[in-house]
Amino acid sequence: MLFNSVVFLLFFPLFFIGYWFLTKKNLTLQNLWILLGSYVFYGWWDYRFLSLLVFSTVLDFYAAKNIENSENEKVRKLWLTVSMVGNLGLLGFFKYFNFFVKSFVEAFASIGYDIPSTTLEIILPVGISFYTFQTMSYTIDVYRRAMPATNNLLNFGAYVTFFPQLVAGPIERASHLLPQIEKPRFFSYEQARDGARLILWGMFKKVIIADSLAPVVDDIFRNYTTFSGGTLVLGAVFFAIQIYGDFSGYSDIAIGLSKIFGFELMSNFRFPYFSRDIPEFWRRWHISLSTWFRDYLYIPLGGSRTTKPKAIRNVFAIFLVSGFWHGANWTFLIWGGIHSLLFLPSFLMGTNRKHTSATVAEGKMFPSLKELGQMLLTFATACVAWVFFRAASVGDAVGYLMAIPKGITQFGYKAELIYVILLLGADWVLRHNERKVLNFKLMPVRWACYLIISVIVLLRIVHATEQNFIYFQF
Amino acid sequence: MGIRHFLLRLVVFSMLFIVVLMAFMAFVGLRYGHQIDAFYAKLTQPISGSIIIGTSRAAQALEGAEILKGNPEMLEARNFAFTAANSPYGPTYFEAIKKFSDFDGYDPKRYFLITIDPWSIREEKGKGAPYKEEGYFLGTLKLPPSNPNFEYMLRFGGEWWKFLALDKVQEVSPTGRHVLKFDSINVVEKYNANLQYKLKTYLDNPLFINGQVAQERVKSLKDIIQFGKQHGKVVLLRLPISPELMTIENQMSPEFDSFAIALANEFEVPYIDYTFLNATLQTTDGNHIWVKHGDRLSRMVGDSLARVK
Repeated sequence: MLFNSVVFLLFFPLFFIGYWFLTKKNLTLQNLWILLGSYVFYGWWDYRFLSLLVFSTVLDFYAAKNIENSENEKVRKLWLTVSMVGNLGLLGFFKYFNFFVKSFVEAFASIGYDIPSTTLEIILPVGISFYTFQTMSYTIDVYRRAMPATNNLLNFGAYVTFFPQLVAGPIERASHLLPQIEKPRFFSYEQARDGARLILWGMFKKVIIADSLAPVVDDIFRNYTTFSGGTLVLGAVFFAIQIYGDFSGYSDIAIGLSKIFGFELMSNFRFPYFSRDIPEFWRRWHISLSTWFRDYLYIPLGGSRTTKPKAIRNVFAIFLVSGFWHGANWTFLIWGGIHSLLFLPSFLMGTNRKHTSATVAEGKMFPSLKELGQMLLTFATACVAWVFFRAASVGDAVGYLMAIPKGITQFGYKAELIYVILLLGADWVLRHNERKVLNFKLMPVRWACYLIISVIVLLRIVHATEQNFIYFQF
Repeated sequence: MGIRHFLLRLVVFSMLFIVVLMAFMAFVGLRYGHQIDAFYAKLTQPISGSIIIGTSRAAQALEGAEILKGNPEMLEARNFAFTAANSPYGPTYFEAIKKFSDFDGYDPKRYFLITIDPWSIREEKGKGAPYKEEGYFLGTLKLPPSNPNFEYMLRFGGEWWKFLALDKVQEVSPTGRHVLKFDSINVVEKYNANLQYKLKTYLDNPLFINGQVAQERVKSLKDIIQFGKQHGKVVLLRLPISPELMTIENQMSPEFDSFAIALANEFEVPYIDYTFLNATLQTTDGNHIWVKHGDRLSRMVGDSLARVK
């Protein structure tokens, strides 16, 4: 089920009534309602894949319990391995099987050996990368004794499947979300109001900004050989805005919905395109994934507190794995590789934690010229990397970039720049707090914004073909 | 402030939302209805005068106001033709004609201008009713014509609200004709590209590759003629197209002319074949007459009607 669909408009009030009116007085019932609602939400897409969710839930629930119940390090490790193999096995089979087979066959073909290829018609279950990472983090945390294992399968099931963030994050840590599931929730007007505003804002970013740019981006990237260099530059910028609007829009909706049900999820985006360098960009982009890799891959590998060569290896590892997480395609790996190269200079000079303040141009209306230059440079380099992320193949990405110098001053699709200006302009105004959106002081202004966004979003939802969220495929 | 307050605000917001939505739709429908898309304006009022029936060929070619110039005695014709996908002859189109018309008995000044071509009575072999157009707007609109037509805008109107931001490349005339604006830059290149595209579309069309005359479609066509005869004069028309497209049509349906003549004889109605103008009148893509030549053709149709008894 998509948030931007008519069926969700029907699902949400039913879930709301059941949650706050029918099951409110009994926590077990309320969590059961979350679990059932989440299964309906997920099963609406393809009920057969509910079995994977159940498998992942049961596997990690019992793996974590066995880890906690044992003092024998070998047994604990064994159960951790079972959990990792189970989750990564699922992910590997559904997401990477065909990629490895194809790459293997192509590698042999390139040295003159033709071996028959057997790829499978595998459907990628929506959100598999998100919920497997979420459950793995739980088992690892229990193994590290960072949190106790839960004894309640229902609560754990509700944590794994919690529908607002099930299919595209934020990837919530059990230590953050599970305690909220285990204790009673109380309706807070302020929390629900802020949540409703975030939902509306997320819809604006997804339905009005990202979905409007989607056909333009598709056209430019599909037919890049026929466009002028200027248009190709715009194409990369449009994609940067599209993927940001799409994914951060989803996160806002997820966080907003959770607020209405009394939960607080972690922030996933903090105005990444106002970053002054690439390390700052990664502290602002897809935060739940980058912190996941930091905590469960980078630091265990030694992080930066090791020898220089190993630290560099760790930087490459985290970015390459992050690229690979997005999908079984060399384009994603190269995207990760580019970011590691962009990250490395600051890392080596020790300036990668230079810009850690939450707000850019704090206390000022506009950034300084230096800040502006830094932001533009970071955005431009991110856009170059996005070309690899978006292109159908590495060859296409290279071809795209090589074609830019031809006709660099000729721009097509100029009208679509309005979406870029709209989103970045609004982000600039909001940049102090990603959770406080549409909270203009004057009520008529506030309500006018609510109404305009709602009307346009509704009309687009009713008419347009439902546009999947980009991150569903990852 | 708790859940009641939140829900109360939500209710107030929902009511305001509905009011704003309806007001916006009414404004757009009433003020810019003719620019929403190729169909909307045809669905806002019932037809009581003459009527033009057919597919996009007729939708773009025949202008009621121009026909009237050729035959001032007749009731002005409203164009109720859509596209080959939406309004091929069949039960759906026939029901829509009945639903969107308001004929008060027989009137000799009322004309049913029924345009026919080989595509609109064909179907792929092995496929029968229900036809796919039953699922499109003519088959599924539940409410009668209204202005503004909220039902159409909400269910089928595409992104009609986008008209505010986009160039208007099409509109529907006050009599329901679909007018496509064909800009004057690189006309020859554009025409050739359109023609090649259209020719390919037709050659790849399953109706061309694997189609046959569908008896149920022919029956509906006959029902429409019969219905027309009850309320006015019926005239069968075949509109001009480009010579290249004509070759394809002749290859697909060499018997079409004799079918049309037999049909006209069966119902004792005139059949006027304008394909002798194929090389004279300009199309925009081989299939649709350019608007200016459509005006010319419409006046010729008016002249012809004046001479038809």
